[in-house]
Amino acid sequence: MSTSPSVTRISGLERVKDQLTRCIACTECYGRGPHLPFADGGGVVPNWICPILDQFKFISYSGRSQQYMARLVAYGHAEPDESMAKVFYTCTTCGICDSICPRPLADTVCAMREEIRSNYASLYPGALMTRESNIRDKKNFFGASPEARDRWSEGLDVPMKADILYFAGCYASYRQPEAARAVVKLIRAAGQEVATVGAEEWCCGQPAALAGNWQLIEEMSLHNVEKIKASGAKRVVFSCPECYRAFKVDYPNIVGELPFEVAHVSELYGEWIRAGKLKLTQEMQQTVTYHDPCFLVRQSLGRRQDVSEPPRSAISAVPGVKFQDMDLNRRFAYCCGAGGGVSGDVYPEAAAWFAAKRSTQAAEVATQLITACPRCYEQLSQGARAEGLSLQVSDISEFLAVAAGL
Amino acid sequence: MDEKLVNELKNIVGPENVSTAAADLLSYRYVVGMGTEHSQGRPEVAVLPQTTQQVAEIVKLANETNTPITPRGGGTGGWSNNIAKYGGIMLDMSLMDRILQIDEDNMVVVAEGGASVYRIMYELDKRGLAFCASPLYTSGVQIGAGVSTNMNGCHISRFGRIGDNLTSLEVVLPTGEVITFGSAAYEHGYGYWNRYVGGPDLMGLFVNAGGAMGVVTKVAVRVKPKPAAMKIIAYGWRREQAAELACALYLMQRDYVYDILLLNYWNLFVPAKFGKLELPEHIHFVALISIDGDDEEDLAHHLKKVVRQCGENGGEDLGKLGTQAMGPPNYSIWLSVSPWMQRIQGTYFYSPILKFPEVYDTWEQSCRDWGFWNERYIPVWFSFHDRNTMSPYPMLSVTNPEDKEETEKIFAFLMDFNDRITKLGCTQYLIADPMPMVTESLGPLYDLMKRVKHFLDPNNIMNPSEIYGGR
Repeated sequence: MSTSPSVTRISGLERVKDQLTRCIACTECYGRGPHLPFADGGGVVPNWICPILDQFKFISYSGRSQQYMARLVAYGHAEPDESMAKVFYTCTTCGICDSICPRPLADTVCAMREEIRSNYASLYPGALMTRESNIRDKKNFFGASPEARDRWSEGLDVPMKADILYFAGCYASYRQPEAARAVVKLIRAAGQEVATVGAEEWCCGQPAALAGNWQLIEEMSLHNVEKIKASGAKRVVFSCPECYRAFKVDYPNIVGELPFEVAHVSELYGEWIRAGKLKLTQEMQQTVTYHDPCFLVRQSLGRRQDVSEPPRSAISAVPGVKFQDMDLNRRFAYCCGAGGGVSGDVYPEAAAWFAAKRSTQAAEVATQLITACPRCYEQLSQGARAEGLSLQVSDISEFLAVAAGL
Repeated sequence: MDEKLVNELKNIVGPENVSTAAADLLSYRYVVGMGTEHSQGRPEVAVLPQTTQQVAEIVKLANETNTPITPRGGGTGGWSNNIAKYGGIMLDMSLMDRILQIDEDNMVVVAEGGASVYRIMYELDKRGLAFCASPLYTSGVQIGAGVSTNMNGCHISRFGRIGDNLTSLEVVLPTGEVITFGSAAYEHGYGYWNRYVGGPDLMGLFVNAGGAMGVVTKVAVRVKPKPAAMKIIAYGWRREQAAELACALYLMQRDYVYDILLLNYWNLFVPAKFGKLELPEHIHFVALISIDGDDEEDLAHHLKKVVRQCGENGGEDLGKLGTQAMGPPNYSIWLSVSPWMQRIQGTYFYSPILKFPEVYDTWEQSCRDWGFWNERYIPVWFSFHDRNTMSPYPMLSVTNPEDKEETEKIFAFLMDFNDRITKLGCTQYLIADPMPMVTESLGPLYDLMKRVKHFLDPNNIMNPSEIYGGR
């Protein structure tokens, strides 16, 4: 097993220092009003808004001000204080500003968090320290028993070797086992076998990276990639978009090119339904909408690599379903507020505000909300409950498993 | 900041809309123009009012306590008029963002001062209507601040600037008094339909005043139908053809164009270098010309005339470059060259269109004299055109705004350039301080401006600056 990353990485604000002087202060990242005349690709975009600016109102909560504050710190003009830390830890890093701006805005937030963690320890939130030790010591986000990681698969006889390997992630493994089981059932229903690495699966490390601890994601990546390589899998699939993003974007920067393909399960579902391999037979007379997880449509995935159509085509293929998008969808989707476990854990009240808003948007157009992210699922379920909405929230794999009669 | 004052502000707008947090206050230093980011001037408290009444109460409180107050829009101005130079209260208008009425009978849109111009354009577009000016700077742009800076942008060729299209304004004067200007002032009138009320046109006191004469809380602006048919063409001219270009611009303006955006070579140099568009090497000026018509036949008629005007004045048809650089893919071009996008610093002024050759010569010569006419500083020129008037935005790319020596040199250069164009006869877009060459040149008119300011704002609390005597 490799013991060190193949790529050396500059840490903290030094990594983005050159970019910080290039913000032209244009305010596009505010999202206050659609960008009509010169919008990329067609003229009119929805009336989107930066979620933290939406909630906290002051312009400090915007990509532009984050760039400015990071620059003040990077060039020695200011030191972070509690108010500045709040701006950087309430940000959900949803990346909606990145979808408009050529500057790496969400990455600047991560770089600032690295800076705070390394050089201004008193400002580093306690909740994140707990998460870090959970990941470091127990190899999972929740600090649960590592041995219990693969209990979700009991009775399914999932092998350790197959062409397709399912990386369940911490949420499905510990909190949403039914969603993980639905993934396995759907893959099998499509005539494929699926393996896992069992209890040898570790947290992907993405929550640590988002919190400002890059060393942990390095450690996790080296282990996970080594175990998957040993399984001989040709394609690794994820039901958690954060794990997917870690493997697709971050791991190659740590270990180099991966010796297997990566895909989100919704991509497979879309592909198999189209090819007639996965048959959805159960009628579901519902108006359904879909929430795009940030990590599937933005978050450095690139505009043409986003995973937005496959889940929609899979959901729309269910007999009886009337699909209705929310106004803010795809790369302009409003964040659920989980923030990759950072903003959601440090500022749960702020996260609840986002969840309430997004679930209300869903309830305005549908009675059933589907998402393809376990964190979004939890957030939006809580949001719908807190608002007393008549809105059923479901994970995409569980929803499709019912539709497939599994 | 006096805690009592902060508490009173909280009583007016609610505690969640008042902040003394360092991060919130620091952020108000950052605007499009450089030179304010490391200054000491920052507000002591930031406030987000939601109603005109709240604005009035805040302004009255500022008067009672002799506290400076700075109204603020999106911070997209290139001047320092939206910075709290003397501390005090930052009045962030962002929450007064409602579009109050789209009156299709009178072809007027009415919105609160903090309303996003882009959202207004979006709503108008859905109804087949168009706003007068399309600002190049983006979603932060607010209509009230647009009045305070007489907002410019694409489409002013047909419509004029925002100041030319106002029908009513609601303003909180520096004393806290709320006054409506224009037809809406009539108690039982027809509303926001007309600018003129039978007395002197006082609305202009607040247009281009940089927020020093009052807080614009409500704006009514004329709108127009969207063109039924439109085409964008691109014509190019060589550097030595500036006089012919000026003639073509003049003739097109006089007749049929919807809009003209004039760019120099440096604007298109970066996308051309990245292979995003094809710019012939001998072309120095590019005019992106929007032509409209009631239908395709009407458009063809106008197009024929514009093509003839360009051709007779030495213009060269640049084919697809018009849609490449101006149509919907335009934004993609800028994103695709983003590694080169960086801070910009420029100056904005007005010039008669026919004086373009000597004004442009002055830009090039000034840049050459200071060593800025090169790839490193990309000395772009783009200009909007409004009947006889050209509104140029010449600017430099700043390779590193943290390089104090370089930024100081750029500011000194811009002062020198402003001096040269003022001596030529151009007028400034907005008086910013320090600009002694402009205020001296204005003579008695400038004295009158200061007297009016003193009359409206006896305590000099409203966006005080050296322009009107400092504090």
